[in-house]
Amino acid sequence: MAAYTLRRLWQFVPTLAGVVLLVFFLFNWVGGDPAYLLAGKISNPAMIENIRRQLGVDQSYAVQLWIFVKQILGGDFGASWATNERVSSIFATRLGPSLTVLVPLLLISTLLGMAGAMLVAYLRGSLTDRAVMIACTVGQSISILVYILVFQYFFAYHLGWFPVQGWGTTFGENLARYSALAIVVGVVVSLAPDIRLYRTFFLDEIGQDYVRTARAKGMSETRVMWVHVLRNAAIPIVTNVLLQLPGLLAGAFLIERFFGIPGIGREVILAVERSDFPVIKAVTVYVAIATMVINLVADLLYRAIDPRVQLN
Amino acid sequence: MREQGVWGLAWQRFRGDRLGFASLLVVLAYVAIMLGTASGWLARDWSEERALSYAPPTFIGPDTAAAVSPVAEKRGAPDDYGIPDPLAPDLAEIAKTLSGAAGTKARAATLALGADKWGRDVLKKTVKGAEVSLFVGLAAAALATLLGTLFGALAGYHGRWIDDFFNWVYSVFTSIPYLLLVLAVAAVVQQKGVLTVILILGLTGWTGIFRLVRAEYMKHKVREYVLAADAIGASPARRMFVHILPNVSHVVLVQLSLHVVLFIKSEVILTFLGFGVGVETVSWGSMLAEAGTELLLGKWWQITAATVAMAALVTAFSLFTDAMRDALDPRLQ
Amino acid sequence: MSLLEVRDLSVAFPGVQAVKGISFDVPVRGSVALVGESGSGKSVTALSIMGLLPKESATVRGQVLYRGQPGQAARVRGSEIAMIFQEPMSSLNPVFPVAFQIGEVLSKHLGLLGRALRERIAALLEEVGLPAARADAYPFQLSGGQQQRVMIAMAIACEPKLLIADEPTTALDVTVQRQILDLIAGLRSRHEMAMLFITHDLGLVSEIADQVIVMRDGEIREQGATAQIFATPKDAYTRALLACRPPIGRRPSRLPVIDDFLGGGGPPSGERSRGLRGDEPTVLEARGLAKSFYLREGLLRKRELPAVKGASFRIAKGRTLGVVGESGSGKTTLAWLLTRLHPASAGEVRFDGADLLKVDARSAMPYKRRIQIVFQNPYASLNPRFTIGQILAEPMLIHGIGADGAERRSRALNLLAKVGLPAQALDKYPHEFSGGQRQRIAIARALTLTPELLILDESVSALDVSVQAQLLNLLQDLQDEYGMSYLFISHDLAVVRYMSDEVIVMKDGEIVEAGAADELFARPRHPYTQTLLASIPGRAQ
Repeated sequence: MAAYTLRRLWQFVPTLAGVVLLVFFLFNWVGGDPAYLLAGKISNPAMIENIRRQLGVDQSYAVQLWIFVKQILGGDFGASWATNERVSSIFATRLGPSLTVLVPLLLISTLLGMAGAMLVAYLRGSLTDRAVMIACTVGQSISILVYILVFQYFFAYHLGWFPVQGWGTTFGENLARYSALAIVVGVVVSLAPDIRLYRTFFLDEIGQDYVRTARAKGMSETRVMWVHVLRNAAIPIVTNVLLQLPGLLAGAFLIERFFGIPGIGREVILAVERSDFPVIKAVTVYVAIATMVINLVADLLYRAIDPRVQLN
Repeated sequence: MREQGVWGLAWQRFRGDRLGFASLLVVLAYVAIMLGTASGWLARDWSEERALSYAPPTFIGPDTAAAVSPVAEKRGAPDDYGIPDPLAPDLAEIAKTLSGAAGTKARAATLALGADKWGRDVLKKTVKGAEVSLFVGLAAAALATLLGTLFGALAGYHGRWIDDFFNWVYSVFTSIPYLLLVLAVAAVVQQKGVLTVILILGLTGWTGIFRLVRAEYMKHKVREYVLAADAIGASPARRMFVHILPNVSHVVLVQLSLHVVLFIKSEVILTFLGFGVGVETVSWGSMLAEAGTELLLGKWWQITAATVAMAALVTAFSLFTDAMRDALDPRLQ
Repeated sequence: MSLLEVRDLSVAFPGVQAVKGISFDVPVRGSVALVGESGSGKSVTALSIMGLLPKESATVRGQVLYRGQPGQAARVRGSEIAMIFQEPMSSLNPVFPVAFQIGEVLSKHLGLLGRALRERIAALLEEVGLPAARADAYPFQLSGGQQQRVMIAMAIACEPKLLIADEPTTALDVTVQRQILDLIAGLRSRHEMAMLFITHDLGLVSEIADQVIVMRDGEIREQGATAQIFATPKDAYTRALLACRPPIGRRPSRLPVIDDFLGGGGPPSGERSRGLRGDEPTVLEARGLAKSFYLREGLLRKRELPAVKGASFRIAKGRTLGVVGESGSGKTTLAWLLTRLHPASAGEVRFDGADLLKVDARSAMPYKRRIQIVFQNPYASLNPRFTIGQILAEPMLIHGIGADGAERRSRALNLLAKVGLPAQALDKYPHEFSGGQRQRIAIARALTLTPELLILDESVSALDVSVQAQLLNLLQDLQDEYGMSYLFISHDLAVVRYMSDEVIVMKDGEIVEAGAADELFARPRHPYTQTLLASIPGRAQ
């Protein structure tokens, strides 16, 4: 276990180096001279010159890369061009709200998705199965934007059951009041793809020989599904849920943006709209690190719940 | 009688699937619309302001209250989101330049599917929007599939350092969540437009295809028919592309189809946020962007038109993909 | 009254009638063998008795009576009727320990819990010859034989009256098969179980069954007492099945095939002599051939897994060297080294004066032409996207044989006729052919290059015995005509004995014994060879 974890941690180094190179290539080479972007916001040429010196963009690419690497190693990406807030504190303060929405969303959608998938897999080939599958396909084909706009209009604006948007000060208030509709939208959106995916996991297992053995042993259909099939299908499902997490961290930005949740996703949108390079760079690198860590955790968990895969 | 190859058999199975075949017809109809608008036969005058602001659909009848005040900007819809609309200044400018020409004509009180804020025909916008969305989806998916297949074939077949290199690139790309990567690229690329969106989506979206194709190549390169090709002296390139590629092409085709759907949805989100195709053209994303405020005013036709048009295409494409996957399933041979 | 009565049973799947109205009995404490080749409907029959066929696709007609009661068999499955399957690895749930899977049966049918349960599990494991310590093991931690023992422990857990065994030893090596057969025989007499044993192997039947049912295409061709069927088979198909297995003691010049019997003609006569005169030139000689694979372990360590350890042998021109070994003995790796599909770790291979392992890829091309290989799986060895014509033309194209397409086509047609396929086959695709026909195509592909050495890696092992006999006859004819040398690799001792002039026996990557085929089979010297030969089922007859 320790040797495996150590080897995986060692593999972080080249990947992280690649991420740094990619981000550097994007922002310092493709993105060009950031001073031109700032020029629109700051008119004084002396100030721009000053900023250029501060950012180091008047230096060669090698020097700029070295500055960037030093920033990452020191955990200090400088300040936001738009708000002057320290970038490191942006990430720290935005993580909490993001997780307040994401963790319940992930739990609820996974449980509902598994239950629904098991039901349709059990009824495979029936009319119900086909109807649910087509409903899922149609549901999946509607843009998340429509779900957000319509749910927000109907439940918050029209019926007034939820606040349209906002964020409070206490965790309980945020979770129960401000995150509720966001979580509902998130669950509705992720349910259709989850059911479709998990159904294939269940069907794969139902076709296996050991299911026939369990039936030959005289086990009831309930036990075959809930013990034999579920335990096996849980392996790809758990792995899949964990691997979704980093994507959601940034991918829930639409939900965060519309419901006014001050999370990482909304920060990304704002930063991209303002061309706030330090924030985007920092968020990209931080999220990449988080992704690698979560992938490692997913791998370790996968190895823990699947006895066939042994460490080393 | 002509002998039935694997493709012939798949086509026979596919034709037997009525839902899948109907879906293909729907997709082809959209492709025809795309070609029609691109060549100017359809919806050429989508940007013409030919009706009253927010003229309702014909089947509802004219809006008696709105007929009095044709100028939309003055309505000043309360922006409950507190978010500046990135398109608003551009749109206002366009409206200003166009109002001189369009203002003289008599404006219609209703249109088939209603009108937007500036009195443009929602039906024509929806039709024109299909062109952008579908073209971006197809072109970006083609690019991503090409890259993913090529990289996956090289890495999976050769293994060793080539595999290590592509795996490194893969792990770099996948450690940044897809939408974050797309947004980061969108942030630095100053040029907006259809080509940019295609490049952004295609260059960042190849990783899933790479992983699958690589796994398929690793599986196939030790299959006996490939070993037999090796034993008769077939070169590595011949084994990779003449022998293995046709046998993994069903995976590639299904992925291509899945990515068209994924990229259509991504383009809509990108454009909605203002990082997609510019304001000089219309996409379902920009229609949805206008719909946010319209809904609050009870003007539901534009969002409905864009949603239905997109859902019909994406549903048909998804059902078509499912049917194709079933028809190409190698276990059925 | 019989324990189990099957009356007019029919099973249909969409488009296929798998079982066509069969009737038979399994008496109390009796042992009945259901024999047939693939597609005969024997496994479907077993599954329909247990009520295990998929309800959405299978239509079952007729009656299955257990103790005279219809429908009872499916109700008492797991307790009074138990079943074991062909693939023990996939038949066990991969994520539960052995004890859980055995205990489940005991809790469900006998209501055992806690300590009583644990003691019963331990007793069962001991009875099937597994140490009690293996109770906490997961299926993947056990060998194939041990997994099948666990399946048997689950099956006998509730003292069933009837055991249905569906090809329980087919996936196992011959020595392990021997152990499992002995175990089943012992349990059967101790527990007074009746047994329905499903197999394709007539050799097994004479050992384990007192009654035999022969099935073909969903119908029963013949049934009766085992001794009677083996001594005086009435049905032509049964006679053919009995005759087409290569006998271990004799070597007929041609093996009888089904058509010889069904067509009315008798079996061919004459014996073939095998063995070397001693003055044959050597076509290929291997010295100290070795191959190791490496497994990464821990942070930096690598573990060496030797697959072939210093093998030396020579193949005489126009003759056959047989290679015998169980799974993991390194016999397939050997074939891959000779055809350069894997680079060797050490040793040399002399072929026509050159060391094959030293030449680079470009200069190896002429040698590739002269050494060809036919693989095991007829369904995997032909590219499904090529027509037979393309498959046969490709090697000629690569090696510049034949002036143009027309000439290559006529060569291909010629070869198709040689391997017994019609000319129309040229424009068809592999999926339109049966397993035996596909192996013929694979042989024709190898022959396009007129090789001097043909490596046959388990080339007939996946085929039914009747098809196997046809292929073996074809290979003999081709060797006589072209004077090719064969390296004939198989786990099937009778087939190797039949085909080979000389034989080498491999175990764990090493050659443990080598010699003339007749001598080695008559007087094996190495203890492993002796065990192997003693394990062949049905040797007595």
